[in-house]
Amino acid sequence: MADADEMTTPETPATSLSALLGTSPPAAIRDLPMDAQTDLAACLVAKIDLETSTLHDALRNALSLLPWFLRSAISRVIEQ
Amino acid sequence: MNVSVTKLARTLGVTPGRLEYLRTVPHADVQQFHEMVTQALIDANSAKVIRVARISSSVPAALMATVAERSRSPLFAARFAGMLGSSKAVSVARRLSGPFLAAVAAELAPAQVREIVGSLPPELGARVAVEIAARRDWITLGNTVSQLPKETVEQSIKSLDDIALLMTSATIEDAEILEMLTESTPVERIVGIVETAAEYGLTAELSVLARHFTDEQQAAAEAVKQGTAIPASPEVSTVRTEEQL
Repeated sequence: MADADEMTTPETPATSLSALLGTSPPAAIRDLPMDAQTDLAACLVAKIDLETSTLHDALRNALSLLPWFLRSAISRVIEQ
Repeated sequence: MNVSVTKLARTLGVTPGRLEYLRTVPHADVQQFHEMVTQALIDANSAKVIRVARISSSVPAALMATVAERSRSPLFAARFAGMLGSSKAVSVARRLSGPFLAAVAAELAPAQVREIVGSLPPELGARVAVEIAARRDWITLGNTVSQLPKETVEQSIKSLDDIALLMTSATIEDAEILEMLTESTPVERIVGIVETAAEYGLTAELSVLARHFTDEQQAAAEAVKQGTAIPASPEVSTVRTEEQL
């Protein structure tokens, strides 16, 4: 009997894109070659990482301008 | 490379050439995929931004605008504005400087442009359009014009030069928007637009716009080609330089 790991469906670029998008991409995108779908997923992951980092830095910049009670409350939120 | 792919590449922060494999994908599917990507980018950090927006809801709009601008991050301001609710977002937007507001517009999803920039008074909406044109950000200008009320578009066209009109038209895929754009363009501008297109090699861009010319505009364009048009006056054909391209 196969163990649990072997029974897990391997993640394809299409399912990876679906996971990133939270929904299934259009059929014409799902029908693209695997390397194209992998590249699209890589582009999206890189952009999400960049935006996450940019937003984090911007929030920290913004914090320094706020009254102390807001700064404290928002700092806690950022660290969550 | 089609416009849909260029727009998607811009959202993903890559060159259009990298997405060459999308060349055979129908426009509508690329557009739908682009909308999904835009939403995924918003959703990726939405939980944190929503929490911050809730805490900040009691902050006066003037302070919020100062904080947004001094954060030096149009992306932060755009994501934050998207979570504020339109009335507060508009109130903050009114207090932002033109250049920063133009940079924020580049980060907004189309629905957010409609909600926020579209709610600004026509004069201010037009000022945003002019600031975007000054950045030569034709894709954002096209997206913005596509979401603005006609009154604001008419106001904007008065302030945009011929090159901006031509370059922006080429980024708009919706025929109704292009029709609205041509309807809002006074026939007196057509001579200058056609001459500019010839002078700067923008005939492909002109053809996008010309498909939606009214009969009167068509006649004016034809007169330019036949050399019978009255030259455009400096008042209607604003000064342009090659740098704008």
